[in-house]
Amino acid sequence: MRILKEPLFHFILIGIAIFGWFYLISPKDDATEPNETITIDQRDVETLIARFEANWRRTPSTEEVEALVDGLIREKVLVREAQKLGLDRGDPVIRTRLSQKMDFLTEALALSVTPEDDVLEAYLAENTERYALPPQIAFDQVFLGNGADTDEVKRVLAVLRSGDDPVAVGAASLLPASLPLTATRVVDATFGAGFSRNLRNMQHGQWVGPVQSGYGQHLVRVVETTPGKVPALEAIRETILQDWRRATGADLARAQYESLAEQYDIVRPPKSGAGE
Amino acid sequence: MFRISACLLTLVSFPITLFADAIPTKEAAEGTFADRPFSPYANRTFPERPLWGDTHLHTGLSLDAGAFGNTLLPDDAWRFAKGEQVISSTGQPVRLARPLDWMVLTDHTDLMGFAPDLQAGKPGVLADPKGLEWYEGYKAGGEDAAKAAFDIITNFSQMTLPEVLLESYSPGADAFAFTWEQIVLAAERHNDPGNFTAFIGFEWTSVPKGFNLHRNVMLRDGPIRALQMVPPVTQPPYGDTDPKALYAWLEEYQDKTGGRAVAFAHNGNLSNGWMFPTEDTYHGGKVDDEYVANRAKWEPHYEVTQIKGDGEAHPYLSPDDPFADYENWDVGNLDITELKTDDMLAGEYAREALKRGLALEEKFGVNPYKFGMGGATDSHTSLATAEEDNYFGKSVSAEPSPSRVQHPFVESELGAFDGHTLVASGYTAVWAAENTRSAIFDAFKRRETYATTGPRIGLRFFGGWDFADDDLQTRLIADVGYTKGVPMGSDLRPREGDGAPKFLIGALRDPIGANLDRVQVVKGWLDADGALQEKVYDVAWSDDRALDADGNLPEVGNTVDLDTASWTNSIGASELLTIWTDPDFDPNERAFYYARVLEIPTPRWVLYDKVRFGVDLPEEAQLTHQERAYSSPIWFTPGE
Repeated sequence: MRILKEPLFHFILIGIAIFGWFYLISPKDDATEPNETITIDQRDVETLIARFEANWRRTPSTEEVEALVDGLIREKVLVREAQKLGLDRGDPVIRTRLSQKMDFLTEALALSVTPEDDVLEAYLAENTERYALPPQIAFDQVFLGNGADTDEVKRVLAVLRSGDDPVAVGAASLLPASLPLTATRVVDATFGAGFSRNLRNMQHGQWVGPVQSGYGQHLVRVVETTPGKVPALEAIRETILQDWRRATGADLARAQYESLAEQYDIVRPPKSGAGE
Repeated sequence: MFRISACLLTLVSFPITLFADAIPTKEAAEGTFADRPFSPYANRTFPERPLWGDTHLHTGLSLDAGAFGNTLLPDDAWRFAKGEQVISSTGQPVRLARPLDWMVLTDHTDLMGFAPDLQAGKPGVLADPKGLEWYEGYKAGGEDAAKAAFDIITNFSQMTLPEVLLESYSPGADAFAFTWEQIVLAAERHNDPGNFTAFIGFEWTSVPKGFNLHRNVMLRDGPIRALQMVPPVTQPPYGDTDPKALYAWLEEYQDKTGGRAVAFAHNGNLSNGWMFPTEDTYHGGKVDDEYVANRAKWEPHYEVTQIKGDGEAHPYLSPDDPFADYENWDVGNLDITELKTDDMLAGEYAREALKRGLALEEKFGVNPYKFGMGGATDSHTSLATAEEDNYFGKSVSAEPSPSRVQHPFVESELGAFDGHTLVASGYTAVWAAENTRSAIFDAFKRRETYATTGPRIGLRFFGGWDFADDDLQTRLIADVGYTKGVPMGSDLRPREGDGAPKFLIGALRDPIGANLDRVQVVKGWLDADGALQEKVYDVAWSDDRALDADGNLPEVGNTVDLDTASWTNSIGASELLTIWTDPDFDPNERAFYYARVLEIPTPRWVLYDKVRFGVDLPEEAQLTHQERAYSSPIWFTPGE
């Protein structure tokens, strides 16, 4: 019996077996529904034509439209049957696509919103650290080393206050003898943490000290300070709007997910012991 | 005839008359130049402090980083570098002790943007059976995800990626262009001239047969120029692994956009001898006039220290240098498909390359290996961490965990790079007068940069002919250095008189870091017989130590407490200043000099892991080390 060895024959047998099995396990009233209707309306046809035009840059002929409609009917029939058989369940492509569409919905929402000024003001206020212009300080300094005693400090201070060239006194050092207006965090990165704090309330133009740094003692003359400030919303509106949209999109997606997830009782598998 | 001569005469005399009109009298001219100002600080144009940055960092947009679970994107990386706290891909809050001043973000260009699409399961990825398989592995997590990631990387290095995916994420594809736009615009958002410089850049990931020939590229420009091109790749048919292809891209970028770009290599130690060739290139070319000209033109910088090993020197090449044995990775090439042999080492390490450059300059008149030094993290976590006590590892799998010291970074049938040998290194310091793209880029071009293995050691290195001991008394070392000499990265000025070159060197410890052990000068030269030589000189050191009978400096000691991972600055010096004269100078020999600064011993990152996680370390794990800084060299070329 040659036919028994034909692959096609095997396919047909397997097909009958699968459909037969699904027929048996499907709920009865579902399977026996008489002629369902599939309607292709004018809007569907317009969509098909538009898609064709985008691909081929021309209008389809009547025959081609007919072929497109046939294709759509075929797709709808097969999709409905596939859904009845539950073939959409467990398919990672379909599942990912669906969950993505849900994410797009919320993201699109955030992108389309133009918030009121007070919303942006509030966002700016919550994130002042990110947008603030840092406080700055300009100063001259004379390094005394680590072991200068009180008398030595007094002596150098007197020399400096008498108007002598600050470059001529103090210990040789690679530390900058003076810094132009510089962000305090940069000052601290150069002289050690907390150094700029010690200079904050000093009188300008006067040599004072000693001030302790990560290296030792310094005499310091503050030349200029500018306080840190948060710029007005108007000055950085575009930046704030972009950042707000990014943050809000993410927040919305998370909030929406959480509210949806709350409607379910979720059962997790027990955690595996090792963790690694 | 007469008429023609008359015409010529008018033509010739015209410019002269024009100039004559513009030349003022001597008295008038003198008044226009101001006297030297009283304030010694006025009109200064040289930098006061080094600007700290990282030239090499990957985000989740890079194929390997994303495949191994990095979910942080450029915005996160920039914010982290600027000092903000972020949550790492493994959910751990992390922040830098001190923000950086600038950074180059260098995602791999090959399959740029594929990884986030894989993580998100974009339809384009899932349409391919391989893509679907990887996605399912990634979603399953754990072992399956790691297996998928390794499969991706294997297919990448064997050039067997599915064609559809390759096409969708290579130059010419929308996804590729959009990812580039995303990178460019993120850098632009975070570029804040004066406070923080965000460079547009990428990594050109040439790794034929596992031989690392990677180059990073940084642009001087903003989006208007950067978006006129998409970056080059290495996978055929869209790109080529031969550096010539990169040079051609750079040439085209500059011609087409009017912008400026530089490239710099890293990890010669994983190239199995192909990084610094003297005869043949890996791709079958010759080291010829064209090769040396291109290399000199496009690669003025080298990333000498980073997470996958320190590449300054190797004990096999420098047997007389007791400090050459530092964080060397010398097992094999990048994927350990070929083991290392001793004859490969000379083509891999920076000091040897600088020496080879002298010989090639003698031969071709151009030195292809005349580069400045820099350090970088090459982290694939989006987190530029180079501090030992705040180290987030090479990849997401090496973020802090009790077991990370045990996992090999790469393992093959031939050997392994063990997890505990990962290096918490490094950063690049730039002597630029302003914190802007143009000022920092220009400093790279003139090689005024230096590398550290992480600590922010201050380092000034000037070369000249007439520095005097008095110059050390001034508090304005840089004034003297720039006035009487040239800074790191330069050529010595033409020799005056018959003296030897003198170097003004100052090193300052990290304000929150360890004291300094010593400052050394490394000299390399081409001798009269055409042989390459090197010598390391101790030039300044702490604690009044005396040289022993052989002229060696005794060790500084070690204060590290292995139980608490702490040390004290009770040994070493805060600051070391000196003027050093080359005692072996020969004016007929080409030479280079660079400074190496060593810290006192401090804990390596594994010791912090041991103390914080209470885990046992592999016996061979090194617990303490001496971190260091490498200046860019200063070159001497004999006169005619």
